[in-house]
Amino acid sequence: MARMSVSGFYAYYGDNPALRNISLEIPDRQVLALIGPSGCGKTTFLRSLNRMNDFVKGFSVKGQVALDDIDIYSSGLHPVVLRRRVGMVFQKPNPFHKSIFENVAYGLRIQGIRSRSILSDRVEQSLRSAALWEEVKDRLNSSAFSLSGGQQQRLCIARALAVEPEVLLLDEPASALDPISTARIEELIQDLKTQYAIVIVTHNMQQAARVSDQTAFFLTGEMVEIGVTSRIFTNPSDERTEDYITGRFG
Amino acid sequence: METPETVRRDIPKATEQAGDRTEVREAPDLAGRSERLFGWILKGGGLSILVLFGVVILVCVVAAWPSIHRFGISFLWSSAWNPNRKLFGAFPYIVGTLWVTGIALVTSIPVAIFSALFLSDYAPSWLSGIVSTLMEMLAGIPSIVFGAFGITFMVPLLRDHFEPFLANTLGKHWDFFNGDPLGYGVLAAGIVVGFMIVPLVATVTRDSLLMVPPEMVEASYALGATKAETVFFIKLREVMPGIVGSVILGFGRAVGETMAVLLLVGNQPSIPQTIQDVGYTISSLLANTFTYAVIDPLYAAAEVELGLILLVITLAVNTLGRELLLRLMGGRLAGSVGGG
Repeated sequence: MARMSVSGFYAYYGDNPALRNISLEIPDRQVLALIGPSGCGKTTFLRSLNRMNDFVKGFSVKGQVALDDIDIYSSGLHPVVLRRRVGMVFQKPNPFHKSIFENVAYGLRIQGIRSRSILSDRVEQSLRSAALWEEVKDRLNSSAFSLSGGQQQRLCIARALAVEPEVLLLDEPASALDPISTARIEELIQDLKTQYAIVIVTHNMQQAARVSDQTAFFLTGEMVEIGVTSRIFTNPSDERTEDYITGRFG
Repeated sequence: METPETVRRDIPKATEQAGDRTEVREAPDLAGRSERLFGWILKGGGLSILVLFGVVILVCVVAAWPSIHRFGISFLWSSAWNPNRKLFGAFPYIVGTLWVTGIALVTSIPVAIFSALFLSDYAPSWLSGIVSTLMEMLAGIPSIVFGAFGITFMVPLLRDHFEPFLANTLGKHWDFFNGDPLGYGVLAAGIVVGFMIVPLVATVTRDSLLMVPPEMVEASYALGATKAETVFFIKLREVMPGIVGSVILGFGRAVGETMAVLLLVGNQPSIPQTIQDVGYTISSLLANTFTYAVIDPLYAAAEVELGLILLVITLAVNTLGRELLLRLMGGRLAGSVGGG
């Protein structure tokens, strides 16, 4: 079943089209990887799914992006509500200058949740889901910046999970991390897909092959092809995809 | 994560591997000499600050010694001030100074923070440019002009409208807001000094707000925060060290402000009991009376000792502020060493 579906989607920075005629489905409880060379539009696409591009001056869209059959751009669904349902983790770990606890609780607090017991339950549960609980349970009140880079990124994942989104967008979540932290994040993605629809942008094709169920290949603002990951990497139907995954460019 | 340390550690290794392990030669003499000369000039510059500071303190202590010796620590809480009978006490002036400074900070900080938020996050860029320029010009207005503005505008406004209003509303419940509506007093002086601090705090706060990493702002939006929530819970928290720093600067300015206060505070060596009372500050007392004081060594010494007290207050607040800043920055400093 598709959690989100995109059809005939165009995105523009000013007059320049950054994405052209994208149509795809984001399946529930699976991982969709977006791959492609720098500047191909994969991050623009990812950020279009929770309207994070709204903050970019001159950004505009055409076409349809639906979350559970509700068009996120034209239905009057408020971006604030949308972003609670479609969470995001960024390329660089970006915790707030708050304690570990307050980082995770932030999304709940702004929803008006005040009860200490609900907050600590949800914080613990999110930290467990992000495989960070065991490492931080004794120092929830320390600054988030006392954590290592890999821990910070898992904290950011926990923070996104705390508001109980339905879809999780990951923008190269491991690109700033060392190999061990990267492996932990990849394991985590495998665990999380049992509950969420996940879209991950990655530069690392091995990573895409390891973690995703489906892969979409983007090139100069267009989606060249999408399919089951194993097929894309072994038997792509488009020559350009083959050239890219075999390292002929990009 | 690659930290600067790891990079630096690699450099000697690379040169070792380069092969021939000849001694590192002295740099050519000419460059060495000019390097050393430059170093000495810089050292001289740095040293001169130490010397200047030491000399100022020393001279003040020596000049104040007769008073320190005569009155001891009780100078701080004595209210006597009678040059003819050679009695001097600092208490009314310390209290007056704190009143004016307190009112100035309480009135200016919220205004400054709100205007900084407006300039950084809400104003369209053309308006923000105009307002920012005006604000910087405001900071450059001489304090005597602020004093004159206070006398011609603030004093009548307070006397005829605001102070009676205060007495009739809040004053009915708390004596703190009561008093004779004179216009002059700690309120007038505090508000006008507040005007002088607003640009200081607002400029620093605005600059820090503009430097908040966009990733952090995006993280907040991505969790479903509104703009107001992001600005108040994330951006303001983020710039707290900058705000604290600018408030310390503002405190220094307010404590030492002389001309505008002298024109507005009323110059009565009484201890202000309410917000509408008149008072006297250390700096305005010195400006008013120092020329008479020099004829009597003890009188002069008492005044210099007041100056020393002012200096100690400023140093104390600076030190406390630095501690607070370090505590606020704690997370950030930890962040820069936590790699991997």
